[in-house]
Amino acid sequence: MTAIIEFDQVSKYYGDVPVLKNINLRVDEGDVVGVIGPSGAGKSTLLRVVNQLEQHQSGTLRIAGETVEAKAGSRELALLRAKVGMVFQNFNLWPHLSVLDNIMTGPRCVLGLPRQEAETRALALLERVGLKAFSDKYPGQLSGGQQQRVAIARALAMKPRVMLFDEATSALDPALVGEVLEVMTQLALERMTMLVVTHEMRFARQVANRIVFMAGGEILEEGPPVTFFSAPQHPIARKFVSKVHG
Amino acid sequence: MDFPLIWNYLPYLLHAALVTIGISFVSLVMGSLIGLAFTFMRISRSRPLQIFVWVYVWLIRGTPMLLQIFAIYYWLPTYGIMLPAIVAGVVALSLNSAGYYVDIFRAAITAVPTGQIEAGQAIGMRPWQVMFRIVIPLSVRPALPPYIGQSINLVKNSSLVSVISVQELMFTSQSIYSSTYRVAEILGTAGLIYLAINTVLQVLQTWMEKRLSYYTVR
Ligand SMILES: Nc1ncnc2c1ncn2[C@@H]1O[C@H](COP(=O)(O)OP(=O)(O)OP(=O)(O)O)[C@@H](O)[C@H]1O
Ligand SMILES: [Mg+2]
Repeated sequence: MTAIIEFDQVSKYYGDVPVLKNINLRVDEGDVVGVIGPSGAGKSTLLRVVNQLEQHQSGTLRIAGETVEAKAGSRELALLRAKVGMVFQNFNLWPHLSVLDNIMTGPRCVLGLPRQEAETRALALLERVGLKAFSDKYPGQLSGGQQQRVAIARALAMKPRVMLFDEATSALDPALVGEVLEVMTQLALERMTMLVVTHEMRFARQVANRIVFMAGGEILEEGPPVTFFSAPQHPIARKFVSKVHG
Repeated sequence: MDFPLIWNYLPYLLHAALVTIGISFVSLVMGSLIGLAFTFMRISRSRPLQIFVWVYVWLIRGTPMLLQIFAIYYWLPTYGIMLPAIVAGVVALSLNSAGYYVDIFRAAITAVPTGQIEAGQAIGMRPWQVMFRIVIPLSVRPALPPYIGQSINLVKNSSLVSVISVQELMFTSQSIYSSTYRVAEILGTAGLIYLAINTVLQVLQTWMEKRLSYYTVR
């Protein structure tokens, strides 16, 4: 098994406040890891440390075998981030660019692909997320669910080694959640490595092959979904599971 | 109203209006470029650059434009920098408007939502790519109304360079009414010409706002 993400005793503080405490976590190629836990647990921070939108202060982080230096320059950071796709809660599509240009920007600017090739790749991805007819539209003309699917295509266009999802469906109307989860499920079936912060317990249970439970900046429990949801060990996890099921 | 008189002097006034437009246009371009450069310095990580721009804006905004014109025209020569009146006028207007443009540009740039920037960083864009492909394009629309507003001020402020005898619209009007004594007719016409120039800017703003509105459509 090739490790894609390795946290080794990683800690992160905002000022004096610890938000990640000695995190140890390994995500192998093809893993779909569901990260769950109460609000303020540090789930978003965990993801943001992976692609260094936030820097950790201690411990070692390795992405695809390479150690991420705390003082990495913008060049090293860009190289790391190109390998890691991220999908945000609020989509964060660029409103001034068409759907096609949103997806092509990464391949063109970062990978240096010629226009034609980038366009072919973008159109294929749009087809995959079911939005080929929308390539010339602007984000403001799409529904939330459609925007999020474009955002997934935008991240995939970089051919990342791993995809990070931070509550990708939390900002959506309930009616639009399904179409996004469907795309994510499809990705998991295609053996994409995924680290998914989610409040969708059904999704976590059915699609993830591992659940990581966080609270107070720590990973309190980790295991296969069946075991975790039916018999959580840690008292806080037990309380959390009974609450989301109740 | 002495309309024949206005008619007689109209060619002179229109010619002077061209000078006003020329001075304003060059100053607008120069002022914008300097303003943009200073904006980058202001948001850079270099403390000395930040302070330099801060002091610059403080001086420009805190002193009368008239004084700035005099300083460039009468005071620079004591350091051996002798500028023809029209050049001194353009330099003064450019430097003055730059001081205001800095804050307009900076406010628009810093108002770009963090999520837009992070989306660029997350796919591996370098800082300058994020700046030129995301931040600046997204700043254009919010900056537009105050930018055009300041540009309209610039056109009106160009009348101040008449004090160093630049033969633009205000100076020409003054010399016409001081020989004809028809102040109302001449200044009224000049006022209408200023209004016309600024109306063009106003219309430009409305047109651009419409053109850029696609990204707020929901
Ligand atoms: N920029 C910041 N500065 C200071 N504290 C922060 C910052 N961002 C997050 N925090 C704090 O860090 C802790 C973890 O935040 P984080 O966003 O990672 O939690 P989360 O598990 O994603 O929560 P949620 O489910 O609400 O999204 C919280 O206590 C939060 O208040
Ligand atoms: Mg969060």
